[in-house]
Amino acid sequence: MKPVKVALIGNPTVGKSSLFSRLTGIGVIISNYPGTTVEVAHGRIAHDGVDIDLSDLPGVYSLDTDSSEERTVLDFLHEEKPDVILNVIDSTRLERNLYLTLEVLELGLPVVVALNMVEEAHALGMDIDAEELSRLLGVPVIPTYIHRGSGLEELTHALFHPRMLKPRLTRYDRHVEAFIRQLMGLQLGMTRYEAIRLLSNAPESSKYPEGVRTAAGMMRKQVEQSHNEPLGEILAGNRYAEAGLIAKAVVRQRKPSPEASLRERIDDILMNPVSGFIILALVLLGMLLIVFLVGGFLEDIIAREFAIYILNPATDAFTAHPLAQIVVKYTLIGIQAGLSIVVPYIMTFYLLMAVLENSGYLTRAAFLLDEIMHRFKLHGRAMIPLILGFGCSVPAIMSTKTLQTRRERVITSAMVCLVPCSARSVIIMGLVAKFVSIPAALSIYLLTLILTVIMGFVMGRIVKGEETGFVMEMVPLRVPRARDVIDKTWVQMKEFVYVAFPLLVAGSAALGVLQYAGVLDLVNALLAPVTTGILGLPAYTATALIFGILRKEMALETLAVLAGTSVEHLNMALTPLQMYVFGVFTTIYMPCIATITMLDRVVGLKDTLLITTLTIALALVISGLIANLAPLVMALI
Amino acid sequence: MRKNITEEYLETILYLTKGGRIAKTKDIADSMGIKPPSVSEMLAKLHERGYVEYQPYVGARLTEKGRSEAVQMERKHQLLETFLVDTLGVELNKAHEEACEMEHSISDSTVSKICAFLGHPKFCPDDHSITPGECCDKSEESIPLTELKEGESGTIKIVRVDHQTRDYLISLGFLPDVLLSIKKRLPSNSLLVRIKGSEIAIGGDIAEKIYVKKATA
Repeated sequence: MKPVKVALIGNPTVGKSSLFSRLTGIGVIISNYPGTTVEVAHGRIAHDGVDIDLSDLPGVYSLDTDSSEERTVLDFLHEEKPDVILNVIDSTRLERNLYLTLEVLELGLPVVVALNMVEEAHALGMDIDAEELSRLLGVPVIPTYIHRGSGLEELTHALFHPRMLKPRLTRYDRHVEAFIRQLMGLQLGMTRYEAIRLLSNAPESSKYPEGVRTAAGMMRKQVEQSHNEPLGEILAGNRYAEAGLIAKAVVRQRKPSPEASLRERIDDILMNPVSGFIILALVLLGMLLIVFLVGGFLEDIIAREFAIYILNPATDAFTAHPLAQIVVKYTLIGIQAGLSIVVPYIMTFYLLMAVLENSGYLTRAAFLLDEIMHRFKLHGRAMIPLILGFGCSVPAIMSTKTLQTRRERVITSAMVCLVPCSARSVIIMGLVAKFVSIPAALSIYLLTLILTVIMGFVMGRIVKGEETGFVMEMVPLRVPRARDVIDKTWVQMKEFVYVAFPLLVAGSAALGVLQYAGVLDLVNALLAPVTTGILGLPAYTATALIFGILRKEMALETLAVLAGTSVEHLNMALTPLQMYVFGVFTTIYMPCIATITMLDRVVGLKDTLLITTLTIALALVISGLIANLAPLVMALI
Repeated sequence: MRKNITEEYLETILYLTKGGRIAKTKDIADSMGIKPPSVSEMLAKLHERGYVEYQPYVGARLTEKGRSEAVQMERKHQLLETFLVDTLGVELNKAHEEACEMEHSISDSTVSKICAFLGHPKFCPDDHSITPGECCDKSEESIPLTELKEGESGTIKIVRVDHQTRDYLISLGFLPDVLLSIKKRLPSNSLLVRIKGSEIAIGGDIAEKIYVKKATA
């Protein structure tokens, strides 16, 4: 039997993805932050010997604007032609959710409604009569309690037997209705939905003959003039009126539970202009510290144990075959680099982010941060990646996907590349703070902070594209569920592992071979005018910097090896100024391979190259200036 | 330089640059029936006075100052045309010609009175939308959303943002005559608004373009 195709549609953050993963097992991101499910997730469930193919579509508020999410949803509906639509609605925000439901019903496909978050609505003092709602909408309505798992069985059953009662269709204004009938009567086999789309001049209207389009255009003009309002607003107004009526008929208001008013009070403190910012600063600082400490701790262990138990024995085993040894060794170094980024930093970060996101705090943070960020013509949301950037640039850049416009993603990603991630902090701390001075190390942080701000300011003015204002739904505060947090962390780590890991390993092996073939010595010689001439560093630093592209702190380790000493004694090989210049250069110059891979996925190849080139140029100019001017300044003092 | 020639130029450039194009000297000359060299000369003057950005051989586009002037002229023209056609029954072509003459001499206050008389129309006889003026906002006694205090509520009157943002706002329920209340406001006028049973955060730059009528408690 052919599998039944089911598409999940709903507003953002209504628990759609969570429901999806309960139905299908792990495999999708669960979020409480609007706009996380950018792509379509697929899963399959078996029920009484028949398969259901579930597709989780991005969260949308309506089906008729030209935002990228809504286009994804419409394209999917058009191309995949699902058999049933599972519309997930959040009981706590019933009226707004019903607006989309009414649009979904217009599509003319069988619909099953999952009434989610029933218990939360109950706590807020709202009891919803699901049976009455089902009667009014004309489709099955199944209340679901995701974390108790109840309602899932009924839901699966309903998906197989989507009784088509008589779906409720929005009654529009009588002029509009008359024109819809007229268009449907044109012998073109137009459905009601198609007639409404044509009347609203939707993009696909171009498939109709010229005459029909002109007629529809005239109808639209006539309605707009008699109402003195654009058609889109008239339709939306009618739908909202209908949604309001339905919501009113099925909701019974009681006094909210004490838990709800406690939540309200917490929310008040979180968003207060004074306490809100203090809490925000503490949360961000705490997050940074945790990632830095836990990540650093885990990284140490992983890198060391990997060297002792895998890397060294494997390398020793191949002593007889130098080339094979090199390949094995560097492949393993790549794996080691990957493991010591993924597990400690990325995992820790995602766990924390998942908690912030699913608790609903992230939307509050974005709201508060908008206060600061709009000066850079960026949104509050853009601050989140920048903070993540202190931990690791990879998840930071990944998180720019939640930004609305490409312009914002490009600007924010470029800024993220300048934020010293924990690997770069290892160099700043391990080299500059240790051997030069702590103020010198801090000056590098200050320098990058200034550069990041300038970068944001300049990019904000040169990068073209839509500038949308800040409009974001504030998600209700929720206690994050462990399972959702773990699912989400896993899914996001999986993305990193699949995308960046292979490249890291392959890149590492290739570097090893290059070194074996003597190419790196050649590169050292070729780059000497830059490394020695401009930066005043030993020629072998070129190799160290190339290794730093694999994993930034490898620059430091390689440097020590090449200098013929250990990291603890680097001060014997380099002068303080050289160490400072090296620190500055490694902090600014091109992002590591994993970051570049992620950049490519998020902003595309062209802008990735642009950002990479820009950072290299910036690193050369800044550290070149320091290397050449510092001696002069010293001499003057 | 006569005032109404400047105004004619600005209006023509506004018309030609709709959709983000640049107004070519030749196009301006064609649509105004003037020789290109005179147009170039005039554009250079307008450039000096800060109304247009002009590059010889490329063309001109309006500066912020030029645009607001031109939009005001366009509004006057459209209101006069609406008045002549809809109220007096003048034939459309004739109304257009005469409005072209009258728009340069009529005062702002008289235009506001005509606007009020017509009930602050949003479309003119040839179906173009009329830019709302100050009088239209006042007629609704509407104030920018940013002027509401925390805890106050109001009903939406006009949402005046770009197309994309407006569609997004509409899908969130920001429609005329919808009730909303301010739950939180931050120093930079960022607002947290309760609408249709959910909470929406709006940056100050958008909030000030949403006009509401304050609800009396």
